[in-house]
Amino acid sequence: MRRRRSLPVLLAVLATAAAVAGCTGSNQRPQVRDVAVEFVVAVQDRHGQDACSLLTDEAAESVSGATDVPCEQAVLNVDEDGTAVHSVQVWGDAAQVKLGSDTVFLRWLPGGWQVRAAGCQSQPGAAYRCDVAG
Amino acid sequence: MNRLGRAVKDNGLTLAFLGLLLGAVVGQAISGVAELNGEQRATGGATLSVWEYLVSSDFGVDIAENWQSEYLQFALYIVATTWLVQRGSSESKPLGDIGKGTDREQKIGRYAEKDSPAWAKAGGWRTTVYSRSLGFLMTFFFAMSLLAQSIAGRAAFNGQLLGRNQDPLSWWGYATSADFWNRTLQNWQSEFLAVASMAAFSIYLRQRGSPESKLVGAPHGVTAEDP
Repeated sequence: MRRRRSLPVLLAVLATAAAVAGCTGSNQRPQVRDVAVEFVVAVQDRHGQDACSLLTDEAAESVSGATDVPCEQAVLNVDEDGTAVHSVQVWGDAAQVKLGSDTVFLRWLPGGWQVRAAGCQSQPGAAYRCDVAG
Repeated sequence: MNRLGRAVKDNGLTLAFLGLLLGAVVGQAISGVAELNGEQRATGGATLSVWEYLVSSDFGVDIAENWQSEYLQFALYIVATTWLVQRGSSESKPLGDIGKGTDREQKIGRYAEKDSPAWAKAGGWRTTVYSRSLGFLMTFFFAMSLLAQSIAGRAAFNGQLLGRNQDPLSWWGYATSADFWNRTLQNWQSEFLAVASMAAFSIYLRQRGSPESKLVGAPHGVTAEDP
């Protein structure tokens, strides 16, 4: 009764891979936070064009919904009440920033981090309900 | 035959499977990054290079979840075959040999031979540890691979949660989640099936020349090491 033996070197490879894979995104937090704060500030200062430029294409389309109101005007209806950042989480190409009473979701796209959902409020046992979600 | 040729021949089994491992991992990386980039392009996302994919949580969890189940299989098999036998199977020891065996049978302590490993001769805790070292190592690799799966799997799953506008999970939250256990049990069931199949099929089927098989002419009822 003979079985194959395994090789200790595999452990080092696995441990390194897990450490790297488990830490993905931690160095992206400053950029993520900056984009989220920039978006909120743009809305609060009523700079609709600047705010829309930070949205993903899908999010920009969702702001107007079925109306003829352009993104630049519609985005100003998103309820934003502060830029105090409570938490930043980055996992792969997705991120979440909690600031003021809002929660903003972002995605890493070829052009950098962009806001995918904003004006989000948590729902018990369900996904956040967002004013803007693309 | 020169020294290199002899070394290759003497270690052919290990080298061949290391080569297969390398080839399979390269294939997994290439196909994995192609699949991921296909999904990214379909949703307008950023694509990854092969290197970026190799250090991603998606690749990490796929590797770790398979490794942990393999090490679990071997750890369980090594320990279980000490106490459990299968009549007629090449994977089992003789039916009368259940248990750890005597020091004389195991050639340890004062029964060690001249060329026995040092810790087999040493007696005391060294021999106790060395007597279980194969099972210990497999169990350790299993535990480390499972931990790696939980870390990389959490990172990958949290990316999915954020993409669905949901809060990410803590490590403990992920380690007790349906995603973690579904991935884990998918792998475990296939390993248990493989062991049960090998134990049972080797009663009736043969592979000429393989140490994993009984002799082709051996009766079905004879267990591998029966005299």
